[in-house]
Amino acid sequence: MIIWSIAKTTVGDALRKKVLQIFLVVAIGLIIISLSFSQTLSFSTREGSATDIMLVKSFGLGLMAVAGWLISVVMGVSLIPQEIERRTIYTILSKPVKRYEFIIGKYLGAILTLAINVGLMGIVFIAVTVFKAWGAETGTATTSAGITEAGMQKIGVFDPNTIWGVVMIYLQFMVLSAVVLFFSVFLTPTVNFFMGLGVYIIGIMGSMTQSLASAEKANAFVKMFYKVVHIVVPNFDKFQVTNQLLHPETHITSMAKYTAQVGLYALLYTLVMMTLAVIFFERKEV
Amino acid sequence: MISDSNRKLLIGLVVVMLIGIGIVQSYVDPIQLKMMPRDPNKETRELMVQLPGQFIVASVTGFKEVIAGALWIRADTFFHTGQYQAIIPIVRLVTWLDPHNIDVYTTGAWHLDYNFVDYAQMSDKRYIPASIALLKEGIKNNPGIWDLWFELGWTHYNKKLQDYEKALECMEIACKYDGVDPNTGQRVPRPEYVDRMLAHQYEKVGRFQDAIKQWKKARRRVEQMIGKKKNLSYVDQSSLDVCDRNLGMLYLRLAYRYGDMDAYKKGLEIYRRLANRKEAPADVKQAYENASKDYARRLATNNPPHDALKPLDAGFEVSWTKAAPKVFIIKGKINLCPASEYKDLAVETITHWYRDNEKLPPERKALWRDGARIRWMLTDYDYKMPELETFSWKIDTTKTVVWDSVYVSGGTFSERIDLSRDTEFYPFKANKYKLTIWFTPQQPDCPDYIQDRIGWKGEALTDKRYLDTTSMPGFKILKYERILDKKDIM
Repeated sequence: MIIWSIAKTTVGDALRKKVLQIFLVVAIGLIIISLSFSQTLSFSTREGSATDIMLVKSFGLGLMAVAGWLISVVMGVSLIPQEIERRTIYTILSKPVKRYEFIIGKYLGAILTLAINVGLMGIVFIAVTVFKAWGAETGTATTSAGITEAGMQKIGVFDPNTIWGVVMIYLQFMVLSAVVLFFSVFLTPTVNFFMGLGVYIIGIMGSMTQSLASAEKANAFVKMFYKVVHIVVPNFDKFQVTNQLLHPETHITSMAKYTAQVGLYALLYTLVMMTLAVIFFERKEV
Repeated sequence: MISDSNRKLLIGLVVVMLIGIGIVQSYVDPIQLKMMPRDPNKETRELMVQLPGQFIVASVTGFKEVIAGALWIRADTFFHTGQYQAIIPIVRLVTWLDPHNIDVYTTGAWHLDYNFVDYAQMSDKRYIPASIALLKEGIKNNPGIWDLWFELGWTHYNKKLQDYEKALECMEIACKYDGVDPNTGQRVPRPEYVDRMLAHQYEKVGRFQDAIKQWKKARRRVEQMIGKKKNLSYVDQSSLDVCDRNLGMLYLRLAYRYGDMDAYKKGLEIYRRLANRKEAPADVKQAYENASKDYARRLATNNPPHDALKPLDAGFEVSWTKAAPKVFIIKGKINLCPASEYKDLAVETITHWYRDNEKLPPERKALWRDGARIRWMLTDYDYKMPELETFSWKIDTTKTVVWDSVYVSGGTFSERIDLSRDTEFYPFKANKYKLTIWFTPQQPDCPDYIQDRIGWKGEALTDKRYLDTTSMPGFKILKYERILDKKDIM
C-alpha cells in the first residue's frame, strides 16, 4: 500500500514535468508526420507502398526509442536526488516507510510513467502503420524484370508483431530506468545522466562486446574482460527488434517467444539493479 | 536498516541473478547473432569512415534501419540528379545495415546493370559481375524467398548474359519458394508469372515436355490461388487464360514446326475450350476454327506440317571495318526471313500473315519479316567475366568488354559503333581483341515468327560459312569470330 502510494505520487510528479510532456508530444507528432512518406523511392525497382511502410515502421520505432530513452533517463536521474534536494525525503522516511519501500515505490512510479508514455506512442505508432497499410498495394513484379502484366497485390493491414516491438521498447527502458535509479542513489543528476548514457551506449553495442569476448585472436584477459562486460552491462541491443519487425520472415519464428525470453532477461536485470539500489540506499546517509 | 545477514543474503541473490542473466543470454545471443549484419568487409569499413559521425553513432546504437532508410532515400535523390556513382556505395552500406531489405539488392543490381551507360546508351558490362555478386549476397542473407532468385535468373542470366541454362536453374529455385507480405511478414504465394516464366524458360532451352508440365503446373497453381482468394486481386480468369493460350500455342507450334500431330490435337483441345467461352475473343474463335479444319485435312491426308524442318540458307555475310580509331562499322546480310518463306507455312493457319500481306497494295507490302537482331561482342582477347565471391563495385578499369545488337531490316544490318567517346568505358589497353558476331534462335530478340520458320533450336538453318553446331550443343547458330590487333582498333 505504501509502495503504491509512493508510486502514484511519483507518476503524478513525472507527468507534470513539462520536459517529459514535450518529449512525448514531439515524438507523437513526428510519428504522425511519418505518414507523409508516400512513394518515397521513385527509382526503386519495386512498386507500391512496401518501402513506405518499412520506412514508417523503422522511423516510428526509432523515434519511440529516442523518446523512451530521454524520458526514462531525464525522469530517472532526479528520482532520489530531487527528494533529497527538496528535503521531502525526511518527511517520507520519518513515517513508517521502509527504505526499500521508498525505492521500490519510486521505481514502480517511474516505470508506470514510462508505460503511459510508451503506451501512448505505441498506440499512435500502430495506428499510423495500420493507416498506412490500409488499402496499400505492392508491386508483384520488379520493374527491372520488364514484366508489365504483373499486377498489384494488397498487403496485410495489421502486423501483430508491432505490439511486440512496442513491448520491447518498454522493456529496455524499464531496465534503463532501474540502472538510472540505482545510480541516482549515490550520483548527482548530471553525472547520472552521463552514466545512463554511457551504460546505454555500451549496452546497445552488446553484440560487439559479445564478438570481442569470443574473438579468436584476442588474449584471455581481453576475452574475460568483455565477457564480464557482456554479462554485467545490460544488453540493450537484445531489445532492438526493428529489423525483425521489418523483415519478420527472415528472423525469429515466434516473436512472442523471443519477447518472453528477453522479458525474463529484463526482469532479472531489473531485480539485480533494484536489489543493489536497496542495499546502497539502506547505508546511505540522508 | 537491513541486517548484515540480510545484506549478505541480498548480495548472494544478486550473484545468483547475474548467473541467471548469463544463462538467459546464452539462449538469446545465438538468435540475436543470426539477425546481425555480418562483419563489414574492407570496402564497407572504408565507407563507414567517410560517413558523417552522427550516421556512425546512430548505426551502431540501434538505429540501423532508420539510417538505412535515410541513406536509401538519399540514393533516390542521387539517382534523380544523375549522380549514379554515388549510389553504389550507399547500396553497400544499406545492405550492411539492413541485410534483409530485398529492394536494395534488386534496385542496386539493376542500377549496376543498366545505368552506367556510354553516350550511345550502352551499359558498362564490367559491372555485371558485381551485380550478380550483390544478388547472390542478397540470396545468402535472405534464403527461402523467390524474389532474388527470379531477379538473378530472369534479369541477369537470361536478359543480360543470355546464359539460359543458368537462368533456368535460378528460376527453378525461385519456383520452390513463396513470397512474404512486406508489412506483416506472413507468407504469401509467389506471383503466378514466376511459374509462367519458368515454363517459357524450359521452352527456350528446348525442354518442351518440361515446358508443357510447367504450364500445367502453373495453371493448377492459379486455380488454387483463385480458390483461396487471399488478397490476390491480380489473379483471375485471365490468369488461367494466359496459361491456356500459352500451352495451347506451345502444342500448336510443336505441331507446325516439327509435325507433332499428337501435340496438334492437344493444342486444339485447349483452343476449343478457350473458343467456347462466352467472352472468347474473335481471334481465338477464328484460330480454333481454322486450325480444326487444317488438323482434319492433314490427318486425312497423312500430311503433318514441317515448317522448321525445311532448310533455310541463312546466307550470313558480315563485315567489321574500322572507320576511325575506335569507331567501327558493322554490316552484313542474313536471310531472315523473306516474306515468301511464309507462303506455305502451316502456322499460317492461325496467323494469316502471308495472306494478309499479299492483299496489301504493292507499296505497303512487306518483302521481309523484320525483327531479328544480330549480336556482337568485342572484348580483350583473354577476357573472362570474373565470378566475384563477395560484392565489390570496384571494376578492373583496364579491361574492355562491350556488346550490343544490331537490328535486321530487309535482310541486312548495318550500324556505326563509336567507342571513341568514352575512354573510361573502353580503355583498349590490350594488344589483342576478340570479336564475335552471332545470331541464335534462343536470344530474347528473336521473334516468334522468325522461330516459326527456323525452329526453336534453329533446325532449319543452313549456312556455307558460319553455321555453328558446337558452341551450343543441340542448337544451330550463326557465328562469326575474328581476332583483332591493336592496329584494327586504334
